[in-house]
Amino acid sequence: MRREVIFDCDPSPDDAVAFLAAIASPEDLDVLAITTAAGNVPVELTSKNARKALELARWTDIPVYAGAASPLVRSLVTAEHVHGRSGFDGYELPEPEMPLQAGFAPSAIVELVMSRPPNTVTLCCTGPLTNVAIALAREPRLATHLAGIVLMGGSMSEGGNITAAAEFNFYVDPDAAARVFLSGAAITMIPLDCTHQALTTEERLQVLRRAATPVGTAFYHLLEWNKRFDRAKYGWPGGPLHDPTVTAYLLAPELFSGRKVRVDIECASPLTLGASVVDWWSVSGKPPNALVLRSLDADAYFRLIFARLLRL
Amino acid sequence: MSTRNILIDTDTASDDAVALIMALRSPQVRVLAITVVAGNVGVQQGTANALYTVELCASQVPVFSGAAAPLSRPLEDASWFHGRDGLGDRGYAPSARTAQKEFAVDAMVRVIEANPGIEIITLGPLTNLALALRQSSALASNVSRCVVMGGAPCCEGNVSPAAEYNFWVDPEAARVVLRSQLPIELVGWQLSRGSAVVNGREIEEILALGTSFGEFAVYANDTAARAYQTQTGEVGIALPDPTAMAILLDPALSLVSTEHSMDVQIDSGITRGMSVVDKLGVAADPRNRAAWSDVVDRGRKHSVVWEMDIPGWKKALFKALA
Repeated sequence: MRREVIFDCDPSPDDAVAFLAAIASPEDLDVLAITTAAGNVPVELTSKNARKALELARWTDIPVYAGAASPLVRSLVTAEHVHGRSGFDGYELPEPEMPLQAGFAPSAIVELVMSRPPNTVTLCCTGPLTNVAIALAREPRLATHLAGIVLMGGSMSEGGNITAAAEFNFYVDPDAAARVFLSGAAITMIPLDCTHQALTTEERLQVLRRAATPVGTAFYHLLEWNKRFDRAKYGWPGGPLHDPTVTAYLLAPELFSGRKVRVDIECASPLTLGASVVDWWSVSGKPPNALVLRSLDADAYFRLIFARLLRL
Repeated sequence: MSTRNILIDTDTASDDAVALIMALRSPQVRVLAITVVAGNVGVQQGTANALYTVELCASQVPVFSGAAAPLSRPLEDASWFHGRDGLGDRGYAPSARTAQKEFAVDAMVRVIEANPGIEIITLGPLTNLALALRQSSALASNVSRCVVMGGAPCCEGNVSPAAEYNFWVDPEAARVVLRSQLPIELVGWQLSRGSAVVNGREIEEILALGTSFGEFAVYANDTAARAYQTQTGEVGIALPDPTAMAILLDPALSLVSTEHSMDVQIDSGITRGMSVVDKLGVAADPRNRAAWSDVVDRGRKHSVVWEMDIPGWKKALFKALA
């Protein structure tokens, strides 16, 4: 069944791989739009990077809408330490020529979803959830009108990657994440526990290099640059390829395993701000609100995502 | 003075309705839009109440419906105070008018950007205004005054020991607004207490005006007056939103105000929604950097109204209801 999707993202390279692999899978997915959030870098840059990636892949008819410049409540925290100043460091791509759409990303999300029948559109979220939270504020029926939300974010037993307790996307906008998890939408959450199993080892990245296509070459270098941080920081043989897990789950859910559980987001404590509290053993008595994916078949994941990406 | 443009954001219940009457009947201001937010009552009921009040005033002001819930929390309304319909459950027949199609936040952004120098007043939770600030970076610079009815600056709250309802119900939105560059004049709920309460004799005088406005103002607030007595022991009608409106309409009614850094507590514990005012100017001290640097470095100081001209306020109210 072909599914309509919207990618809400803060493009660094892994966000771009996520939506490009989806665009390259027209038999499975129809990408209606890309909406950009502030996160890895400010929203002006994420909006630019999204268009750079689309122009690289020559898919310039996908509309790109820019969203909120700062999180719902708090000041923006970015991740230049991982992705460089542009968010796309490591390979020079030309300044985009395709325009941004005039509308505000959350309004575009509401219009695209609500103008279609219920259970049609899936939101794919690979950045802070600011735009989604604002869209829910604009249209409370959005949550149940969506087919679902598949998001990369949070951490269960893996610890945090921006603070000891929190994963970056949830830490940047914990209030938005809290709103999304309380919304009643059908959520699939892919936390660090899952994405840290998917490392861009040299062997895996060589697939992109050997393809010797513009897309393959560009992402080889972009991901190679990214993994320097992870190698230095964690001593790993590669960086986690976080965001395309969202696309891979839509294409091949059998690669993942998880459980329907209760997830709540910490919004108060300075020590644990943005922590995703996953009730894995159902001890809270609260009803489940998310399918949390805890592991994946990493080899099959990379084969699938890079094969799709290299179609472009 | 030439006619000033204003925009009113409201969670229209009994005291909001009186504030709307004051603005809509004032020759000093032109109300460009009324935007409604969930708060005292759900946003649909609040919108219906705003439309009813606009019709009562024979006004053509457009009414826009906005956020149905706080930024990141479920709505906890104040029907315990204002009645289920927000107007004391007296069975007022709904207005035949309808709200505009445009989402209130979009209308807010559009109207403010098209009318530089506009004055705005918020009478409810700050959800709509916070969303507008996130939508438009040009918003604050176009606003010349932003009167906020909310908070309990340096005093007890009305919904918890620490917090006033508008800030308590959506503390995140209150924080967004207070940390913005909007030129805020904070009118806390305490200004409507004590001798600002419309007492029994004054209620009789309002009814003796023999106007539909006076009658509506008194009876729609009947339930709220009883809840207020239970809450505070004070007898009469307390009108937080109309006191804020009076100060918007006539800034001279603010007798004592000072400028301070301020913030709102957004955790969910005993100080949820507390308005914290740096009255002694210690927020910039080194020991407070971790907690206050965002406010001190990026925010601006806002004006807090401490004392109001009570006879002047009553006069303004009577004039609006006459």
